Amino acid sequence: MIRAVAVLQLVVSKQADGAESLSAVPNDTQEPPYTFDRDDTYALQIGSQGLVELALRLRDHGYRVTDLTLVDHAFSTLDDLFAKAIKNELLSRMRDGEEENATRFAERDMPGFYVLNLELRDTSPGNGRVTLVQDGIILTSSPNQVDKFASTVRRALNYGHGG
Amino acid sequence: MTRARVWLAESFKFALTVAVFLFLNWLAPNFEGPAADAAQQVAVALIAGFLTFLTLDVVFGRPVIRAAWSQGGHPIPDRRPHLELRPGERRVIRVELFVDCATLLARWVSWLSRRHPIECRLTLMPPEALRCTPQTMPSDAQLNRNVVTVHLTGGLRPGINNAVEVSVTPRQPSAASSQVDCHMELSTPTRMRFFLWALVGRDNGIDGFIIGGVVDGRIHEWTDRGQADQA
Repeated sequence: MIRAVAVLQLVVSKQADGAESLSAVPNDTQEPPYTFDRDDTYALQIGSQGLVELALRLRDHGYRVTDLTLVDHAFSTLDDLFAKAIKNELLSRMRDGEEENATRFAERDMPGFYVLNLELRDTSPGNGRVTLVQDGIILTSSPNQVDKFASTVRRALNYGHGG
Repeated sequence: MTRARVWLAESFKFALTVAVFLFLNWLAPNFEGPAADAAQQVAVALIAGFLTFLTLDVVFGRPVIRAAWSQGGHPIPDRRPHLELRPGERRVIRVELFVDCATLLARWVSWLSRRHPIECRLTLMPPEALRCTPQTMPSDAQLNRNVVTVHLTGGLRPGINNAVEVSVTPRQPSAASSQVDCHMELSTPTRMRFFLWALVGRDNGIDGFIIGGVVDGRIHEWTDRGQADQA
């Protein structure tokens, strides 16, 4: 995982017209995601399969997955040989494989393994790196990249702009 | 199924058997001979029991949707799996939707359900104590806050019809000594075809788990066991 100088939380807000918007809220005090849950607002509910699907969509927007962390059902990090083989296979499919191929692998072929976070690199000039963690936590060493990343995630997940 | 419902269902079966026994006894002719009365009573009781079984368990038993959960890939036990979570701890649980449909009526309902998909809702309670995150979801399932919605689109089939994996996280409790009993509620909204809604049973008695204790639930519990370094 990258050394983060900024921590943000992706938050979904329900607008008056019923539409939902997504925004990145600074989380300097590192509060857990559930502290952002209110009646009309909640921390983005994104888990293992959702991270994989989002990364595949972000691929079309210039973000490449460079690393990921696998955990078990109790959220303990897995780094034995088998877990590394699973991780490398998943990374390979997420980087170069067809979208359906990677999602099917994540959904069916790695029981008991869950993606906790993804490290993404922006391939466009500027070369920012962000780590996206389950439940919409963003860690980044390039704070100036956050707005662009949040905007890209918003488009990839078909949310409106939350300001 | 809750104990009260099991008791109610078994009591109804017993009452029906007694009613059929009395009716058959009234219809049966009187036989002459040694021990004829006792033999008749036994024969009528056996026939009444068989007719009740045939009616309720073979012909007219409704298909029943029930949910069970497990963790860590372990087989689902008969009794409730033990899970005690403390704030900051997260656990992935797997919830499977089973359908019992062995009777003739159940098979007919199963055939009907192919044309009219059934929507099941699984609510993890209480929402103020529990945050849920979808981990593995088939395309016909989704999670909104604490409610998992599953569409059984291919018609009801005996056995596992669908399975989802959700991680559960306790929200901060109010006191160190407090414990919260969590449970799950299975429902099928009435907006599905009414005749199908009436014909499909739902087993709502899903056991839950316990949230207890208190620790500092900071973000490092979430990210990677403390790897969210601040520069």
